[in-house]
Amino acid sequence: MARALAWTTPGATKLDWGLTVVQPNPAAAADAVSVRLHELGEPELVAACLEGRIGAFDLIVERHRRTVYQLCYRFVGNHEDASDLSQDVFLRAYRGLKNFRGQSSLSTWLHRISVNVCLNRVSVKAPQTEPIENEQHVDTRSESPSEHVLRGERAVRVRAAVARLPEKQRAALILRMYHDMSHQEIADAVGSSVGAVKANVFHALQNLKRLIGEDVR
Amino acid sequence: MHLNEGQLIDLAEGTRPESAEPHLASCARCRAELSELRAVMSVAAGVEVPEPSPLFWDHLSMRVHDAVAAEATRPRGSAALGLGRASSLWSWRVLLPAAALAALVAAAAVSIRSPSDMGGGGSPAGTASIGGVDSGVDVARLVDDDPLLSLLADLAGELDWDDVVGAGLTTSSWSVDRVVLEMSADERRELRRILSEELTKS
Ligand SMILES: [Zn+2]
Repeated sequence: MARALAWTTPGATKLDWGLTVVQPNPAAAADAVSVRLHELGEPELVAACLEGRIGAFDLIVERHRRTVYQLCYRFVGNHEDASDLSQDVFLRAYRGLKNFRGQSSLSTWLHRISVNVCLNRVSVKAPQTEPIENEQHVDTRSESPSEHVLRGERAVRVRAAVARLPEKQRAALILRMYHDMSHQEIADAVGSSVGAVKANVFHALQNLKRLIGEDVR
Repeated sequence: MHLNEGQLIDLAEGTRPESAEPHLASCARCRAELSELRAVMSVAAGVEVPEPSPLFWDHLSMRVHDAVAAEATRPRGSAALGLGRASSLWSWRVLLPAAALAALVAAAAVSIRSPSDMGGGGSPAGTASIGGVDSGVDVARLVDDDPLLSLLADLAGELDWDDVVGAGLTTSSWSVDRVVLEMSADERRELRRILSEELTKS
């Protein structure tokens, strides 16, 4: 079980905290079972979960964690809550996997769960959005320092404004704008009509314009 | 009759061509509304979610894995899917291959090992260099006193020292406490929880 500690492959990695460690050989690290799991498509991976194959659900999480986290982050506007919510989403997905019939893609299904988890959570908790100084990881190479600051401040302001929108507007806007779901898929996810979804996106954008005001010309 | 919300959204998103709404050409108000919608969409679309710490993704996977495993090991009849691996340290090892765990183990190991063993300064055997400063501390006692260090020391026993040294690891610039300090509060909490869980097992 020491595969995480098999430091025998060349190729040193400089970690952020100034450590140099040697990456384990990914091929050697993966056993035969997980190699086969990685080759599975979505329906087979779900089936593998339902058959109780160890690691199958881990792989689903690995493939979708970024999208789920980002969706949650847009909803609540801060890392802590987004990370708790993401965990809830996957736990809920795990419980409901036996009901996943594959009518939609796994990612659409996970979006639906995410929205419901977020809507349930935000209704009991006021959003705590990030402070401005948390803005990070922006490619600044082609920007002047003042452009960079403005861009960062604007991003923080937009994210905070999104997280303050009324729930249905927020859900519709996030799914449409950042997760590329169709109006129909969103309507199915939140239990409303296509017309209502479009109206929600419309009002979300109007409110956003009001909240971020001077940024929009 | 002005364009309604749905029509404006379809035009703004480009799913419907402007030519399909002849009213637009004759109504300044609807044109203004459409252009404002497009402007705010373009501002919002360019805003990314801040990228969390690189350790976060595996940390999230591990949290989910543990939650799912805890659920799967509940009495039969509940939602068990058979994902029974509940060992949290196992998760750390598998999920954090070359990052946090290896770094921690290596850091602890190098810190705990006598500097003279590592070709470092001439401290008497049995003392440790913690935090890059020769502290003269009794390693055995230190390790016994801190369950976290003791577990890391156990894990460090699995390392191949030639590789560690070959990889350029030295005691001079870093130490386990520095590595632990560099982790987020969340990561530290989680590591502590898992390590203490692991320790109470044995
Ligand atoms: Zn009009």
